Amino acid sequence: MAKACQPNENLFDDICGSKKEISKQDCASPSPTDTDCLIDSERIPGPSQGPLEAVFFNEHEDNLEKALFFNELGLIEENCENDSNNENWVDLKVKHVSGLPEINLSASFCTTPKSSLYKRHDFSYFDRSVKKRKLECNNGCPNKKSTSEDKDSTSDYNNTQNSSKGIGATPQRCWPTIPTKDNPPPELSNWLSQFVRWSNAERLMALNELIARCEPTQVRHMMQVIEPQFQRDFISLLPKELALKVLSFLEPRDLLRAAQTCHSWRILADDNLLWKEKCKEAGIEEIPRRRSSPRTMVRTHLSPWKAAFMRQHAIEMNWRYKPIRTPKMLKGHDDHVITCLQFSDNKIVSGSDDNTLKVWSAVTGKCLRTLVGHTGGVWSSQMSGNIIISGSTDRTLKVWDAESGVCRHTLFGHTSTVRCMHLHGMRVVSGSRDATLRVWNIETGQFLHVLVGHRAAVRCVQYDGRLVVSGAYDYMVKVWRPETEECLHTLEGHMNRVYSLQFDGIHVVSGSLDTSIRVWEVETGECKHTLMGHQSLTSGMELRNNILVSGNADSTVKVWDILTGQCLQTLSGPHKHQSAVTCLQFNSKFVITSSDDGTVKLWDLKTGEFIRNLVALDSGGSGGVVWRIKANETKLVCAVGSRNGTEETKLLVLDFDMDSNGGILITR
Amino acid sequence: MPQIKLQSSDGEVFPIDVEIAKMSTTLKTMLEDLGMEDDDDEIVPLPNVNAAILRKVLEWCTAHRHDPPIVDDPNILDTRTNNITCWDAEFLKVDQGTLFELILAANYLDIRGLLDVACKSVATLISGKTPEDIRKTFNIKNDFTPEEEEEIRKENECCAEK
Repeated sequence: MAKACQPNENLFDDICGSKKEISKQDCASPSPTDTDCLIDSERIPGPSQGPLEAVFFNEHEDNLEKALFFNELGLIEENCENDSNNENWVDLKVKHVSGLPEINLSASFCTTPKSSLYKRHDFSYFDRSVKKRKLECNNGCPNKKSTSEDKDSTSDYNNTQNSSKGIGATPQRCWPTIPTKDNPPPELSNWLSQFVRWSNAERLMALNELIARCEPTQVRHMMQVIEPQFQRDFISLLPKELALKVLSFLEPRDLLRAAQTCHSWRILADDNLLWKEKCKEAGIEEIPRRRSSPRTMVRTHLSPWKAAFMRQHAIEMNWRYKPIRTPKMLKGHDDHVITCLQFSDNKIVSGSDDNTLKVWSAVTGKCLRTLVGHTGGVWSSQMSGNIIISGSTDRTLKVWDAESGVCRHTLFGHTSTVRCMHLHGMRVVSGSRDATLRVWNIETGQFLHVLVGHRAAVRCVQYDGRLVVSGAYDYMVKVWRPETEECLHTLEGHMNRVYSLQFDGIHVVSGSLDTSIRVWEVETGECKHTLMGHQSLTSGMELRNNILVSGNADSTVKVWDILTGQCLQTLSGPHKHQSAVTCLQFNSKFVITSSDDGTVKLWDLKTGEFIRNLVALDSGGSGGVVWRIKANETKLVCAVGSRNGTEETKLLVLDFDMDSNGGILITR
Repeated sequence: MPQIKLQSSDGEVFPIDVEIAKMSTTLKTMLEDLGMEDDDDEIVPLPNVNAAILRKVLEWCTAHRHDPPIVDDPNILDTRTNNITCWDAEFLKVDQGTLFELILAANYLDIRGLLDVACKSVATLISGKTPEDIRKTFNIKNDFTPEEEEEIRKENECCAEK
């Protein structure tokens, strides 16, 4: 006998729906190979069945069902053999029945009785590990060939069975093998098929009972298995518009993380319109022009809006945290004072009391032109495109072509120093120590209007194309209609000279040596608020969207809401300036301030927190001064020097753009 | 108060006030178009919503029936997730499967308030998490190659705060 026919116990259980015990004798006496035993009409394990058990895995339920179906039809051929590892192989093969199409389905599994001890009628004392099981549909999968070893093994097996009888009276427990997928517990299949047969209510009850019998660690395991079943990959599974709606509620930072999750998330989290909204929230209104430099064109696959957002964020991080790159040093004007500074389109214009102005490239740091012609110090300037206008102690204004350096017009009329001016369109309004203001056409060089009424030097002027507002040393602020040359309002209230003005078309804000700042309504001339808190002269102010930032000689900077008159922040504290604030500028995030103490400081507009020093002159405290600053999104220009020769007069240009490798700067 | 009957995909019938049904723009339009308002016996089948979810949806609608209508203002973008009311937060303490179905149902029935708050609720599950935590939360397989992952990490890392 080469092969023992040992049909699978569980197969029969499944088919018959009840477990049949097999006597030890049955097990111990394998019958001769007989495929017919499988098509035994009752499907009850006959004397030929050995103590074998096949365990079928859940995932192959379909194949199992098929095998069982064929088994039921009596179409299964079974062969058992024992290989060199003392394992019993059972091969199942679908027989060909004439008249039916040929079916190639074969299954093989292997069982090995390892335990030498077992108790009669109780299979649990058998450690039969199923080593392998295959159910496959293929063409002519050959059954295992019997070998001579099979015989030996089979007899070994029988011997084992027999010898166990002798000590069967004192059964020892064998160590259970650790179950794995390939080596499941023997009764698992039984148990599961029972479960499958139950109704829903029965199953629920069984589960309750099961859980009640579980150790906490097992319940936890259960949770770990079950939990994923209740998870939903919302972003991948929801319709696109709904997934995008979910993502629209995320902060940019979270969107960036979401993009790193998986492919499908990445596509949605990089959606261009989604980022357009995020840009809108961050105040980015348009995609910056593609820059000509190929170095900056990395990552072209990015959504343009996302790229714009990332760029702005990277630049913000550069301002805040990144080590400051060595500034460009633009030396000029010898040891004179830089009195006024203009910066736009990478062009810098510095005016000095050395009677000249210089035009610089912010990119190369080179001096492009020196504008020579004034016979006195330059104390005020304006720039628009290629046109530069300067005002001097020589009582004239000059209109220059920045490109060629040619003086287009010299505007005569004032009888004293031209101390301030404001350009709007083609018209410039100049204020002079002669207590008058004059309106000029810069294209033709034509004198248009003169505004007379102040009784002392005009120190500051604002012009919005409709109205002129002027502040003077006579403590007055005046509102003018230039076309009629009439003074509409005289804003009285300041108790000292007026040094600074801001005008947004609705509100006039004036800063004075009397330490107060006043907010006026331009239409009525009414004083809406008097902003108190500063200790000294308010020298510089900037107003945008009803937020006013004021720099004061008391070394502090204040942020105000001009609608309520409330002081929102005072930029002071341990890192405050050590002496008078000379200049300031702010945007939606930062305030930049410069001071007589030789530093330029960066502050957070919203929180008022000091962020860091952008410039700190070595000569700070010993004469080094930052006179003027001008910044755009990525660059900061500072006019520095000293009154005592400790610091050479120069411009510093700091760059906070993305780095020159074209990559986004990594923040610490 | 006039009522209508809604029938879930699994056959359960829910009699509800027309006022509550009209919180669904889909139902409101349908009722108005068909002039079904006075017809109490009409059953409206909702083949996309099962009874369990429909019950949740109606629970939300009942609780929110006095809410003012949502006005769409393109200038006021509501992208905050911190304005979910306590009631809604409690209401949305459900498993992800239910939340998923709720979003689909709110979208199908066009109940703007519920859709918004349910989507926000998902967003709160995402926010503040690392990519790996997000994967764990939603049982997502990382299908990037290590090279891709590194590249994408670099591409998205600039927002790392200090």
